Amino acid sequence: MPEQSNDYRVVVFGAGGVGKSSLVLRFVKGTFRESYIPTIEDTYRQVISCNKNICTLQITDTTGSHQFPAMQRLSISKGHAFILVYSCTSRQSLEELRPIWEVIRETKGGANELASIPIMLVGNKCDETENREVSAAEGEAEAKMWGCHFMETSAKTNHNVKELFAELLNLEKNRNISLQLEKKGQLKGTRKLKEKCSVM
Amino acid sequence: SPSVPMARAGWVLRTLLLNDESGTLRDRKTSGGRTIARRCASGSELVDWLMTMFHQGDEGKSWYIIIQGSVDVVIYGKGCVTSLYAGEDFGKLALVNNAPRAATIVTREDNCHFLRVDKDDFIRIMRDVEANTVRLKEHGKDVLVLERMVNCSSHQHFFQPSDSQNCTFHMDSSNHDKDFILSCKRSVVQFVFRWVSVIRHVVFDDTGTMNFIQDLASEVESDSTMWSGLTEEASLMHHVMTHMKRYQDERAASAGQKWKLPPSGQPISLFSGPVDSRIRTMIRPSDDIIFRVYCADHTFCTLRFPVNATAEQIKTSAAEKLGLLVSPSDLLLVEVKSTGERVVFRDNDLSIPTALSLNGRIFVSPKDHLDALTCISEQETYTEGMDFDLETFSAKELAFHMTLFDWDLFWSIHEYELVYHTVGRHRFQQITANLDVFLRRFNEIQYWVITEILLVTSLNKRVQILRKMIKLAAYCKEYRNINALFAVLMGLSNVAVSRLSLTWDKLPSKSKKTYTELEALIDPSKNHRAYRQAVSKLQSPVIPFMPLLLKDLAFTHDGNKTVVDGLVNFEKMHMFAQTLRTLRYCRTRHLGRPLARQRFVVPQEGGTVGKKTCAVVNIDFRGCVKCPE
Repeated sequence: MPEQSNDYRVVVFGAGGVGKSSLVLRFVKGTFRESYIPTIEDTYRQVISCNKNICTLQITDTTGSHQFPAMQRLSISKGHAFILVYSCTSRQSLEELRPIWEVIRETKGGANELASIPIMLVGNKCDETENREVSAAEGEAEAKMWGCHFMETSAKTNHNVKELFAELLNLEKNRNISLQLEKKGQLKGTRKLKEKCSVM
Repeated sequence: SPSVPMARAGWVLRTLLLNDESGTLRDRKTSGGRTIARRCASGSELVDWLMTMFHQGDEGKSWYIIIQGSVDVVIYGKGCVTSLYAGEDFGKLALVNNAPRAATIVTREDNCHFLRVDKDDFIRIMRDVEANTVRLKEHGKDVLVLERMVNCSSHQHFFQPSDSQNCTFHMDSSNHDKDFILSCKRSVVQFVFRWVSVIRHVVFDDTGTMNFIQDLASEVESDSTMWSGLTEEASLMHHVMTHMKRYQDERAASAGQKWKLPPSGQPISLFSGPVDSRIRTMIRPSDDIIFRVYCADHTFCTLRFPVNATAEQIKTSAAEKLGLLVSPSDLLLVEVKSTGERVVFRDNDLSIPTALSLNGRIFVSPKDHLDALTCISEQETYTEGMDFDLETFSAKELAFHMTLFDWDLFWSIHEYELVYHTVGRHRFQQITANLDVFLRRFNEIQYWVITEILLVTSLNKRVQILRKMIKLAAYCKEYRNINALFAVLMGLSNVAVSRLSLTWDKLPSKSKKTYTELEALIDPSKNHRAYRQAVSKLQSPVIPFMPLLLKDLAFTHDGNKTVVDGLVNFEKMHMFAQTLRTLRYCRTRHLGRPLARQRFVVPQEGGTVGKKTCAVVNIDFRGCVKCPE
């Protein structure tokens, strides 16, 4: 299948109310809980560096698609990296990620291939210590079991948000990508890609 | 329109007062988003004002006429009750009654200009200008009419309940301004007409509203014999009444419909009904539905309930029938999906049987035994459909009949069902059964495609089926059945199919090319830009990709507050409306049934006419099975 290599797609999964959108908005816009309109295409795009070139980081927010396994499958098959979000205040939200994890494993093939895909299990709302139902250690253990990476964040207090995306891009071994653009001066007016980055 | 004389009067008043006493009048002007600058007519003093003109409960000091722009009238607990536009006025009530402000006035746009008359001046004018009528409107209807009677110092109040029932016009034959009354009457009728046209039959489901419309129609009719200016309005009301009559007849004719959720996972279909079952009718809340409820040991009972029965009613009855000696508060109604996943229903949820996912089953279980629930054996395998050979139909015929069938399902959905689905059925206590059935249909087609391909053991035959499915997708696109197009494409892109590399390799290059082109449409990047662009160019009738509409609604709902500072967030409501308008646009034209072009008789569910086509339209779902290659 043809691959659009100038986009790097990150897909965010999670049950309703765990703060997927807040997390993405915090990262892209630096704000917390702003109202948003679904059809704006550019909401979730960020220019990043990829193999010393400029590349677009596209974040697919899967809010609202949980009832349609087909849409989730579609996002998975088109995605390069995955963020699985649960809320530290709800054990249920962690449980609900398991079927999605199964689908990713099924769609992205065997254990070897899976290991090369950046996947991050994220416990959001870690600022709400009073309502915590899932400890960091439990999250870590779950991630280990799934063979993916783990992090706790808070979109509200902006804790670990940028680090999450930076770390996720670090995990990509097929390309050399990072949030930092190497030469910022050159970026202005040259958003278009001149070269495509290679995908293995 | 009443606004023209009012605006003219306002300007005359303004000119007169400016000449006499320039200090009494002030213009107000908004500048930028939030502030209103006040400009004294005599000078250029600029003072910042908040966006709100005044608050409910404030002391009334002035009367306002809108010269330009518009305002919302907001009442605590009711939200925005009406909007006022250029030429209309507000703020009189508190001055006439010496009472606190009855509502909050919020400007709706930038650059609003108001004419302000302070209380003392207002009273002077009132004294001089005779026969003043104060009307308060809510939702296009007068809810309070204050009238100053000639030769009478007191004010008479006509309070009209806002619940729409008893809304009749207050008529005063001695009133000089007949034009004013006439235009008020016109706007009420026109409002009702638009309201009914927008909301359609849901309006007629409420008895109170129905009585109101009937009363209004007869009033308008008798008025129109007296006032020639109301002829057009009388015909509008006649139109509304015809619409209502037709809907009532339809509803009466389909009363007592029974639906069934077949135990083996086939589509929800009519079990028995008074109407010719060739015409697909909508599922109504009072219709019965027959379905099974299982318990942990896979014994089951068959229940019959109205579609709007709550989960609590169902679980209580099921537990009784199954002999579970547990108090209802310790029981849960659960859906067990074919993946083994368990989803617990809320007690006050409704439309339970229709909302099941494909191949899901309803279970009842004590709270602490939830983990013991497992799939029943039929869920593990595929569902047998009717025995027919896919090869005997052309892809075009298949697509055509699928589109007819899908269109009937799509046509039965009311826009409100999408809102109930997004915000929560239980909050509205409304069913979403018609939408549920349509959503199921999407998954039914998708898994049917996968299953048909995977069940074929011979490679050559599998290539043929794959080719046919691609052609089917192309024809669905031609018939503008985008929902089915996506269902077929998503079926084909399912990993169980896409990994059949031997099959794909043998596919003719033409089919491959078609597939690649079509597949570009389902690319989710840039928030489904490819799809949105393609659909925006299509003319109605279109069957849109419903999951995306619902995703947009869910996204809007999650990301925006419904109430901000005690006021309804209209921005969000506008976003909702925008999505619903897309849906409405798709149905602005009805998909006709061009009988001449049809090769078969319109198939009947489970009927005898064109048995094979029947199977096509009623496409059987078989659970996805893995095929070794």
